[in-house]
Amino acid sequence: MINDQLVIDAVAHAYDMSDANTETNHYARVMRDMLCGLHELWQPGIGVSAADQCTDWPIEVVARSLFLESNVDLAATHTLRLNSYFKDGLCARHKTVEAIRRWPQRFFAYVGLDPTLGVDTCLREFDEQMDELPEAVGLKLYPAQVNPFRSWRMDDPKLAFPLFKAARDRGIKVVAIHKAAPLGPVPINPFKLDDVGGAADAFPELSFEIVHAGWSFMDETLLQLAVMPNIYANLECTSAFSTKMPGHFEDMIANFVAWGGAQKIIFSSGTMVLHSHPLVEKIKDFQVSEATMQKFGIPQITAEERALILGGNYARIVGLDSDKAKKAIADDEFAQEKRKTGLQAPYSNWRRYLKEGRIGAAA
Amino acid sequence: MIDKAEVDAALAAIYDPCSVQANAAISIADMGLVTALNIEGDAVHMRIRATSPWCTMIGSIMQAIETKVGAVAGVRTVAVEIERETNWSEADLSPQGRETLQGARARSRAAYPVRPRQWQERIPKGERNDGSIG
Repeated sequence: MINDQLVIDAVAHAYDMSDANTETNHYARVMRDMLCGLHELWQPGIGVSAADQCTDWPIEVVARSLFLESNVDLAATHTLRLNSYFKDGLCARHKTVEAIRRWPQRFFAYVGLDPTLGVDTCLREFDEQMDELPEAVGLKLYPAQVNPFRSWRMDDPKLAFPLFKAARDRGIKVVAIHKAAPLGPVPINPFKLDDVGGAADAFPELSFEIVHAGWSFMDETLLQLAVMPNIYANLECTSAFSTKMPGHFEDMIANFVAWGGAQKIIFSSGTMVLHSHPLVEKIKDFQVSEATMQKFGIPQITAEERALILGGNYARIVGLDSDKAKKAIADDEFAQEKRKTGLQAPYSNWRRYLKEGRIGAAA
Repeated sequence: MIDKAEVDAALAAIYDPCSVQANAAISIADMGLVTALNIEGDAVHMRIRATSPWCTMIGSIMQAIETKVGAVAGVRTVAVEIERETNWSEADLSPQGRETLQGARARSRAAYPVRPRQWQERIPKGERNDGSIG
């Protein structure tokens, strides 16, 4: 909590990057190397080794990293369907279920689908996941798979729209689509953004998060944010520019604010690839320079706008009752432990679980 | 003897893949991706940087450099290193690169005119559920 406002991390994952879970194709290996490199290079000095990353991460460690090692109060966790890279999709469905069953006061759940499997399979799997997890508020999607290359479009009325209709009808609030960051040396087109607007226009009741917004295709992202009321910039991993490349981050946020408004920006870290604490600390006081205000024609970022970015926007999108949510976490297990220990060191829980042999290398 | 002008010409013919995708094709030289170029005898040594630490095209760019620079008369070896010490930004574009990018942006915005925060016009002010700012 910062200034009595809930801090919500809109993307957190418990990956399984063990050898056993990693597909043998070239793209999967590159993807895993990229994730390890991101962890090692973007927040140098606080992370764990590549060997320790290439394990099956318990959701419990994700929860402890978020709620004991940072000022994040609530988080969304996604079931991932990158099944052509990782056998369980990278973040297995059972981990999302565990998060919601154990800590319903702390987590929002996203179900996951792979539209390249076809509309019938997706609709069946969607119903299965929603039957298991009716609390889910989001649907997570990836635009392409590998081995062989295949992709789909968000504005496809025959494939995508039935999925969005089903999502809307079962109470899903938000669709998160991975964009802007190609997953390995793959065709770039599916990671462009020209298909998101069509989906957002056809389904005004749903909100659409462009995940990794700003990583690339910035101009296209700005157009989508400017035009569509229900398209948002989700800062997963791009939030790390705040500490890695502060000048670039300043330009990025100024661009988002100028074209979309602070109401269109959603904080997330991508925990545990990146750690939320340094990012929250940076963004909670974030301001732009005079030169940036001039360059983008915007006024200074206000405390209210920062609060929207760090949680207010997400709370609004998913219809969260913030007062109720604050009460629910006020004295839960994390609140009690944090009161005793204070803020714990970044990744100290991950290191401890590794040391105690509580994290297995096998899937 | 390697003619540096020929090496420069080879680099000017290698395009940043994402700029091509964005309809603003810019060479890696005009992008400002080449941070060092040394010629010693028959060997060319280069350092390049990516536009983003997540760049997945850097391998393809390196491969293109090895092929195209390697084809320059007199070149026997080409060594390409990735520079991690500096970060790329739009400020690193050459004047030519900047002109190409600005032209592409102007064409795109002319074809599809968009105003900042245009989305707010689609929702009557009293009905907005947008955090009540703006």
